[in-house]
Amino acid sequence: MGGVAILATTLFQVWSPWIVRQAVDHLQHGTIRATLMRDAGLILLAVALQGLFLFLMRMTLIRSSRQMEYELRNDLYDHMQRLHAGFYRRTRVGDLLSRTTNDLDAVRNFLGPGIMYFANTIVTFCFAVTLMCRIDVRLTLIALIPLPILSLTVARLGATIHHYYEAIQDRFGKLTAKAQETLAGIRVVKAYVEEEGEYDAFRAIHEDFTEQNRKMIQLWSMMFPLMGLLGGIANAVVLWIGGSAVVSGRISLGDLVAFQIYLMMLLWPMISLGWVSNLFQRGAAAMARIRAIMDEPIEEDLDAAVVHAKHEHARLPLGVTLELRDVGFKYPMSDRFILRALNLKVQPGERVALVGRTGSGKTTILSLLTRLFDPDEGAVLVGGRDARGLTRAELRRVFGIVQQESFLFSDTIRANVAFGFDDLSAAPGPDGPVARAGLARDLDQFPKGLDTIIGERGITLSGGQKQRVALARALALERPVLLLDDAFASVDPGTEEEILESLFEHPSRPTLVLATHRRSALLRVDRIVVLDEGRVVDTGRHAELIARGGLYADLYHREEMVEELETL
Amino acid sequence: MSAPWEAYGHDEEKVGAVYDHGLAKRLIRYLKPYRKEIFISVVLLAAISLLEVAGPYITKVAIDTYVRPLHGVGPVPAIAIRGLIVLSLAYVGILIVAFALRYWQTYTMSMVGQRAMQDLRLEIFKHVETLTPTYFDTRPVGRILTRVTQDVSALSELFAQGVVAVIGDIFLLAGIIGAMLWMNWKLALVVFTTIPLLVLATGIFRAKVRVSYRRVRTRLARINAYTQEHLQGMEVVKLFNVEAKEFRGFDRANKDHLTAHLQNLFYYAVFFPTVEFIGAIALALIVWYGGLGILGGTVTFGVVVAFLQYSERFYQPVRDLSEKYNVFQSAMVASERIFDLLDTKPAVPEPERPAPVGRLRGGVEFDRVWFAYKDDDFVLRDISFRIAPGEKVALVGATGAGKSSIANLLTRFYEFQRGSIRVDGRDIREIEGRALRRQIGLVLQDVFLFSGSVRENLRFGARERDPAEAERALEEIGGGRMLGRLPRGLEEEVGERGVYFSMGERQLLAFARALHYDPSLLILDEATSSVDVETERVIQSALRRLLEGRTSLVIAHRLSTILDADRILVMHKGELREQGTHAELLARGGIYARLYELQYSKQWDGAAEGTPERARPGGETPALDEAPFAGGRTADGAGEGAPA
Repeated sequence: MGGVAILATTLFQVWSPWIVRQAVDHLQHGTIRATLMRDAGLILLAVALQGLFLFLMRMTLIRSSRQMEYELRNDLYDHMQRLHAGFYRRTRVGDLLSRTTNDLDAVRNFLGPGIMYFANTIVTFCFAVTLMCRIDVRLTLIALIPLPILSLTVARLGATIHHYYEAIQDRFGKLTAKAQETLAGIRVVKAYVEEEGEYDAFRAIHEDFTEQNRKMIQLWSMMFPLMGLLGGIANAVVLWIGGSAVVSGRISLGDLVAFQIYLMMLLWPMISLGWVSNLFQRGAAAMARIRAIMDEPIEEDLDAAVVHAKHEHARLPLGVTLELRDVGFKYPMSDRFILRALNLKVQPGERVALVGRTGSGKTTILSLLTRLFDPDEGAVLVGGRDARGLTRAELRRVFGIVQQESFLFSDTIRANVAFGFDDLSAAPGPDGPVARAGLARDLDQFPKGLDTIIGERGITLSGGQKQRVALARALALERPVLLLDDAFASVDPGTEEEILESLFEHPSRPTLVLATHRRSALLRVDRIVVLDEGRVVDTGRHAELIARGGLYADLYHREEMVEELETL
Repeated sequence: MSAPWEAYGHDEEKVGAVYDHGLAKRLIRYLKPYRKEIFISVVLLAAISLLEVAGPYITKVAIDTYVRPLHGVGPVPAIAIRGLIVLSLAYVGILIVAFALRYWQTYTMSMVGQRAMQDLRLEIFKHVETLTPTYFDTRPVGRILTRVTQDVSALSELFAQGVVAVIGDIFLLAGIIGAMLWMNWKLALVVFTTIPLLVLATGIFRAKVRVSYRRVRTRLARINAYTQEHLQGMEVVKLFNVEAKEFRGFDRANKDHLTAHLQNLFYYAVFFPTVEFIGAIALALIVWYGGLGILGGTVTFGVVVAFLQYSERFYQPVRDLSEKYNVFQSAMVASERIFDLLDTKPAVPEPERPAPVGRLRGGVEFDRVWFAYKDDDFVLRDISFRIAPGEKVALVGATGAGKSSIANLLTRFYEFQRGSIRVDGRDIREIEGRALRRQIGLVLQDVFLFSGSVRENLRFGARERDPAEAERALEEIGGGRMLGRLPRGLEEEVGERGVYFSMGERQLLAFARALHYDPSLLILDEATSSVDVETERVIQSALRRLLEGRTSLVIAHRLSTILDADRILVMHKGELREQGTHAELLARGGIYARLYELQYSKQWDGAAEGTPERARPGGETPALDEAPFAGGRTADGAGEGAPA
């Protein structure tokens, strides 16, 4: 379709100068007004038809490139969603974003305009040159000499300009880095009265940046004037040789006029040919970077390498036992074992608190249960089955989770609470979970209640409100197991008490695993597991542990004191 | 470095007026230093327009003089061909001159754009440096950075291609119109009837495209925001099993973007053929009306051919002119934001007639000082204390007790609301901020080194001093061994924020920097980061050397520092609750005694090197999770090297 459009549009494009040629020749031999009218009319017809196909050409070729961009972007996003959590710990979001923006753009530019101009150039070239040869072969050959030079120059200049462009980007990066450094260290700069020093340093970098720009401008300023020059020279040559040919009667004046029009017609395609070669290079480089991400193995593929015999996809029972058996774990790209030979079993309906210092492995245990990561040694068993034998989706249906740093989305509170439901319209009302998470009172503060849009990452909410929205989001799913990772750190004690009350007294009696050190929670749970350096060092109820006087008693004593200080 | 998606922030959706007189006047000021270049450029443009017009005219002369009259009349080809050669050479000559002038003009104006941009950027940078930390507290660094970098870049096109290019386009149009009228005014007027069509078509197209392009941009911004957010929150998406739902959300945004593009594409697909067709009307008119003229003997062949060429050159300047609309519009939005920043005044006022300051002795007095960062949310309440010259005072308290605020007021980073602060008996509001800070050495908990060599970092703020003393300072502080280990000695690069050095080494460098600065009063916020025992010993002795014989106020976390202090001030909830020596305060059994005890009880959030678990967010209640004077732990998120 696009190909036909290109052929047709070019065909009509080269037709109109042919009519001009005839008209001029008619005039020369003396003609009647009717012929003149007909010629003028034919020109309009030719260009109208050309325009129609030009329209179709853009609508098909550019359109399909946009559609390809759309699909590629979808594929890329879909793929990124399937990548392993470890991937996100070693890749910067900024880098990924530049794949989905700049690189995708470069690929699209090649697929759309790149291919269109390339095809157009080839076809125009063939048609125009054929007609020019019909007028005069010798003249054609001479006139065409500057054109390949033009293409090569554009390609060459384009490449050099791109090279300079990258140098400029590099300097711009340095400039940005310096400005950022000064801004980030502004207190030190001001404290040491170094404003001038920093200014001078910034200025020096900027001078260098401007100098790189100057080099680029030196070339760039040449680009378009040069095109005019080469095209003009071809025109002058035609005027001389063609003019002479007319004088000697080898060609007609109409031939000369048409010839000049054809020559102009070739100018732009030859320029764009040089340009396209650059688009192609950049597009290929960008595509390679996108490929690198698309080649990252997705979670399911990684699983296939680990577990050979997959369990049948039977639904997990609701009351599941959770167990970590001899688990050893270190984070990817790290040599330090976070968990070592760790054993932990949680019965259905049991309420367990994980206690220990930062780095003792509390969060890691929760990450292993939900298979954000798999253990390096030992196994995680859910409902008595190796978690690796379950699909992640199946496994995660068991859990409601509140992470330490609750990530909320810039949407309404309602949408955030219903986040876990695949179909928002089928989601139960948010009132229950909102009340249980102690959010009901806060809603009055928000201009639109549940429909208030919270800013990026919930920036408009206080720390405690964020945590409670995250809690409501987890509660809404009514999962048999709730994992709460330090979920009340920013919630004031009174509200925390209310939330815990409703959590512990709720009739569904979900299994609770809490990573916490708050007294109110520790006094309520069935069992406290004390972790130190990736091992379980003690376990029992609060009173027993205090009586034993080990690490737990120390930690608890400190917590008491901190709370006491608060009241002074 | 700024993240690529920042360009797609909400500001992007803002659409400004095309022309705002006040803004334009301010912008023009940046071009004033380049009057000469601009004048040359305008003259060049006039010359270029003439040369551009000459080409088709030469063709006309060639045809009318040599090709047409001789053809068929009689073979005097020798003269004709010689004439053609002369004209062709003249044509080439004109082309070469035009090329040179055009190159000169483009280069000159582009460089004016670059220079003006540099001037503006340097001005912004200088201005930002005068602002107080209040400004930086309330805005992400990225946003301010965008003003300095991208917003200024948006103006370069205006400087380089704006007004001057418009003048050039007008010159060229005038030249072509003039030449056509001069050659044959009747034919010219007939051809000009297509101009309103072209203006109309371009106008409609611009209006449509402007709207649809804005839609494309906002939808692209939405995709980018969505992608960024979901990449950051990917764990939550996974944990909640909503990949499919979130993909649908992405697909919607992506499809909206596609739709907007297809709409945009449609306008382009209609516009280009339309312009071609209008051109064809001109062509047909030339053939028809010009043909009639030839038949009637009022028009020559050369004129018709020249008209054919002129009509082709006509369209470019008309299209360019309408293109300028976008350039002006985006420049207005960017310049508004830039001038907004340039108009911001520092939050701490400078005295109108600053008192001259000699070398201070370092006596400090806080007299019933009240201070709030925002409204009347006071973080310091009625604080009064004195530090005698030469006295070493330790400031102790939990996170949020107000210790750092005291340092912030002394350095004039913030303005306090009530009470007064005196240095050597003089109210600090009467002293120029920079003069005051030249006497105060500040060592922050979060050691900030600047990329560059060790030497440059040590000389920071004291470049007027003998560079050899910088090395001496480092050795005095006990950094001799560290220096010995560096292959390039003082010339060793520290890397961005000092990443090439360990935490302990960075602290030593910060101490040496402060020592070299030689302040009368030293304010030190002791780092809480964990270091090994050996480094700890080196740092402690370095600290003693730094404080030696100097008035100092240390926000102390180390027991050794507290024991060394002449006096301890205990802050609690914004108030100064206790003061005295270690023994006195311990005997009193109050807040200090508890803080002290906490140091020795095991902590919930104890030292953990390289823990992959994330820092806890701050919250509603001031979390007392930070050890008041622990010898080894990372502060939550505020530790050294924590990315801003």
